[in-house]
Amino acid sequence: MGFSAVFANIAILINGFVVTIQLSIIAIVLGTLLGSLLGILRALDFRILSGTIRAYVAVFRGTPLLMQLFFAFFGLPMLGFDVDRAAAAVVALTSYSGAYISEIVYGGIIAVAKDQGDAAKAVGLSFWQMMRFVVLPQAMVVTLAPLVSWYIGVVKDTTVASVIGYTDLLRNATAVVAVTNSPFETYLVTAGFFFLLTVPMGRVVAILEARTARGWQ
Amino acid sequence: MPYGRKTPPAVNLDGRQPIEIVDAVKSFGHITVLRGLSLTVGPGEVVVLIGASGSGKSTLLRCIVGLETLDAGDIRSVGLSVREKHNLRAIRTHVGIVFQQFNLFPHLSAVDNVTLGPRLVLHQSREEARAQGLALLGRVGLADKADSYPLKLSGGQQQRVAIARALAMEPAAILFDEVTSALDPELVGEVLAVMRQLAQDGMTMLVVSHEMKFARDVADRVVFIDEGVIVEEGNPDLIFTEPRDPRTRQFLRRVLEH
Repeated sequence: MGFSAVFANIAILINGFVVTIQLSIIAIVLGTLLGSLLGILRALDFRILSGTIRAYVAVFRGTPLLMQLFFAFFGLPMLGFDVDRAAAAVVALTSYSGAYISEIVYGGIIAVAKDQGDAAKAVGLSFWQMMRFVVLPQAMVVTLAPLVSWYIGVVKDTTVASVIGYTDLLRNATAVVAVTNSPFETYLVTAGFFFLLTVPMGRVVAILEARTARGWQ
Repeated sequence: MPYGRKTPPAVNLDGRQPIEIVDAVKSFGHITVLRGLSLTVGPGEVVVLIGASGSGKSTLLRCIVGLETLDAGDIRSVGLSVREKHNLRAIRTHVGIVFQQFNLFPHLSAVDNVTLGPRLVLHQSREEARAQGLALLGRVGLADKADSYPLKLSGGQQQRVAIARALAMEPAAILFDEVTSALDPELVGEVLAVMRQLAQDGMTMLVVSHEMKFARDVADRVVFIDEGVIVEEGNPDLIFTEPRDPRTRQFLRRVLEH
């Protein structure tokens, strides 16, 4: 009982922590790639494409992440996909993050786009030159702070995987609770593990927000 | 009357006009801004467009460089029609534009603002472009600000960098869209001085402006636009002293009474 029992089982928590980190990194990288692609495509302003992307965003922002995870884990196999717990978690987190990140990226682009786009076109830049040298560099600065903020959420959202039995930090914490009979102490220590990730990330967000406010000096 | 021209235009136009606007029509929704406007700007000419806000002057300039698309009519820059999309990049290298809000690239230094176009579009090397950029910044009086960032520059300085940026593309003509309207009064003079010098150096210029003294001193031709058509045009002395159309008279009365 108590903290000593929890620390006796610390290896289980550490294993779970490592899995959570891995899942977070994969979801963040893939989600950012997907979201950036969708955000940029949406900025092209082609009617059908924009409409499709907006529908995608509405679906994945309008339904619970946990439900999307169940859909991936239980539903996809019925369509013939061989989906294990890890894959289901990655698919659900990626598609969910992609939707939100596409909004962040799109917002950043249109915040920059109009006048800067005019100026870039005026000196004869092609569309991709304009995006690469003028719009995206500026949009990236604007989106960085909201993005990292979102990433903090992703780290916490990985815990949905525990519901389908994936051995992440939270799942392993519940296992430790079963062994030690000390939920309070166990979850307190678990919170500490999460802080190891979220507190530094929060600091990064604060720095980015300050730099964005300062502008181009 | 304009100063004597020192040098002929640098670009070889092969007999083509820098800017030819033919029956331009442009609407935004229900509002028709350009109603069949025609205007030609010849090599080395300085044409100043005057008129009330909303008369279509800025829209016209934006249409010339393809930032807006015409609904009807045509605009040819150095013979290239703006109605053919594949011409747009070429047109934009022949006709530069300076905006009211400067629109400098804030993440680039002044000289990098000026050299971006030449490097990416004219395929100049970094050294070539920088040398030209520094020379142009010198020409507008900002050689010492080459590595400064736009946010550190005054409005007048930013606008002069914007002019250098337009010049860097070695255009046949430059459009000026109310380039001093967003400036504090004491900064207007430095920008007009650069424009006067450009005119004297033989640059073809199409200028939208409220600066009547500048128009009177520098323009070869003043064109009064009202409700999307040319009402009257001619020699600046004539337009300002003996306008024939009552609408011109009314406009000038309002403007010159400040």
